[in-house]
Amino acid sequence: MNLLKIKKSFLIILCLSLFLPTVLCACGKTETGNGTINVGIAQDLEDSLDPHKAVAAGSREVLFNIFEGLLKPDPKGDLIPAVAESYQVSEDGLTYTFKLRKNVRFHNGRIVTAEDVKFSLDKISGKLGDEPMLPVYALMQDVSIADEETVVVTLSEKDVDFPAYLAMVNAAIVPNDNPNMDSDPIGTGPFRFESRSIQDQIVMSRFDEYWGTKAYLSKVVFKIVPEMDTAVMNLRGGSLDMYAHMTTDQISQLSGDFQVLEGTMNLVQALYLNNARKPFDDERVRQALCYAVDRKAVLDLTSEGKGTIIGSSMFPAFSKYYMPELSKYYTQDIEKAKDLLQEAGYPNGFSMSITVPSNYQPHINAAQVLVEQLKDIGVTAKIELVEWNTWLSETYAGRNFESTVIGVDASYLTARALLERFYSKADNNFTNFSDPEYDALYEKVITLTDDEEKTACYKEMETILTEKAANVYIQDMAEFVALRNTFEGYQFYPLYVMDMSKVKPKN
Amino acid sequence: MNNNRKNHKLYIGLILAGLIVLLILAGLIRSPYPPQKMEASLKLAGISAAHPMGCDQFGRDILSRVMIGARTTFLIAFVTNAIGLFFGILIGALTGYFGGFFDEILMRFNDVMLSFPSILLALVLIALMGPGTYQVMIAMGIVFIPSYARIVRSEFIRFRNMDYVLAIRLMGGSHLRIMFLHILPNVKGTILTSLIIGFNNAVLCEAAMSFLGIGVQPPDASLGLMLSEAQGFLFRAPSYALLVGFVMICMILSFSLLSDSLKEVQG
Repeated sequence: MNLLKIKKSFLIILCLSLFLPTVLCACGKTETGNGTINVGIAQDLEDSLDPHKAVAAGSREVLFNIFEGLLKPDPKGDLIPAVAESYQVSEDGLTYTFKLRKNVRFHNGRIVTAEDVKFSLDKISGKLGDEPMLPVYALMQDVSIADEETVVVTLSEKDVDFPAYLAMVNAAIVPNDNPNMDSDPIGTGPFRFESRSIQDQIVMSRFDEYWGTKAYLSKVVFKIVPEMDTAVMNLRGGSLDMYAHMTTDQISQLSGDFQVLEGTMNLVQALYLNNARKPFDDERVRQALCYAVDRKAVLDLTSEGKGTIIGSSMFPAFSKYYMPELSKYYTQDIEKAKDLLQEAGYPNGFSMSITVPSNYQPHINAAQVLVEQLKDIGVTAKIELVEWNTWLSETYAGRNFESTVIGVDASYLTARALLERFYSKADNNFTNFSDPEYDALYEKVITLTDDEEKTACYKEMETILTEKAANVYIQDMAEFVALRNTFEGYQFYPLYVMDMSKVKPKN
Repeated sequence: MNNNRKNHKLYIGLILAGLIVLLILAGLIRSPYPPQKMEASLKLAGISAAHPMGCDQFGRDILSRVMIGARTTFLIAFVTNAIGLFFGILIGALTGYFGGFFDEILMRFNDVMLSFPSILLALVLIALMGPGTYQVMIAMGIVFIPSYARIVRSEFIRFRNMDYVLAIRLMGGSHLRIMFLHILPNVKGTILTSLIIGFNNAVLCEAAMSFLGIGVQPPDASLGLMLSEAQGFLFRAPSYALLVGFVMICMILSFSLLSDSLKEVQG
């Protein structure tokens, strides 16, 4: 027994002395074959390779390379035609007529027909027996084939944002005769699926008969590296050429072999407050928290100052809706925060818990800084780390929390994706925010057709969220893509996608 | 010669333990900086006169955090063993002294507990109670009961039929008196050495649990948690992980050496 003890302490010394050499020899470099890139991703596509079943953002960003809808987003966030060449909307906004592009081929060589389009749209709208992929797809009341190159979609009610939904990977056009979508996905995108070994890697190769600009790389290997520190090792060691969604801390450990591209994560990181719980049901308490926080310091401490400070549920990539002035609405003012707490009946502050999913280090870091800052107004915050699944079921779905630090993203390209969740009757209103004025605006905005009116309305909603201090908004986090110097051309999108077709080997 | 070597072990152990205790006591009185104080300009700052161990990823002074971290780790190890020892002695003494059906049942249950890796059992308990410093103490305390119970039981079985015990029984001494006033003092040497081993086990167990993120919660500090945080900065600030690791090694080594020399003294 005693021997065992000694052995254990020696084991620790041994481990420590073992990783020293690892640190020293991890600087070796390997040449990558021309035209092949090894991309690290954090998780396997566990939900499905079928775009009509993929729900995780991490799955959709990979499938984006294999699949296309009738429309697709471009790096600026505009919608460009893909499988459809053009489309027209009727006066009443209910009928969409899509003219299909000629000679678009599936990866198996077959030309895309109007039947395939009808099949795909019927499938996601739930007409083939499944649940609708997303509730918005159920809006498609009827999909009919006018002629070989024309498909007409009729909506049950008007929704100006409908084209944006069709540009999601989830609305991909797939062949109507492929029974193995889960294991052998066939689409029309710039890359074709080659192989997958579970929890290891996914291989794609260039599709040479692609209708648009063909990809530059002949092969893309997505390697699953769930652990960030391992990913850094692999990048340094040469087995990975690219890794997205990295933080400043990880980037700072890379060598000069990499170019670091800075983008934004396109999510709203905030201290989300359960508006239904005491004391957060009091607007003044929420405002006090907003005044107590120094967002600039959060950025300085957690990400070397990188990131964009925001003031409402909208990030800068949605330039049409984003209101930069809201980020200056609350600036740190301890006295004012204390006064507000006094008014609300908490002159000595209070205690609160901050629930944070344990797998998101950036959120944990932000929470640690917040705890420190809230001390200044007498609020004692305690961090509770929970597992991601627990967070999803208890905090998000169960709404059983006091406050939580998390990033909320937009799954499609309209402001509604972010603002819908603060409508008091929305299923995903996990913060229990409830404001009659906001509800009225929301009910109004979904019926509007004029884009300018709509935008103005969305902006009013954003302002309400800021004024009522629905949550303590912090930032749209900076994210970094590390790309080996032998490659170039990576482009960011305002959506969570990783477009490999634009990456090319550098000469 | 033999005596000399024994002394070396004892002295090194005492010196290391003394250093650790000094560190903890100094932290109790006053740490060089407030351990939670963040300073953006000092992020991962290296070793300097103002910060002898450098600063962590939030610019917090690592020495100050090691002081309270070592204290937390020490406290967890102490409480864990107190719980384990108290119930271990109780169960071990009763089952060892009386034997019989009751003994059979409790010891088979004990076997079941011991057949799990202790960290797994602690994980299950944490999953039930939620993470946190106190929960870790309770979970680990429960995990530590069986091994103490087993050691105490075997000693009690050895002593229960000895002549002096029989003599006291004939004199009319009660069972409780015999167990705790006459047998227990004879067992204390064995308990002491296993206590020190248990202490080391608890330090390692706390480190493992905090490393996995289910132990002490940030922004509090413990050695395991700090080591886990330092892991992300191995390339940028290797001294962070190495120094925290070194303190942990000192803590474990000191108690190992002490237990060793104690055992030899008992011979």
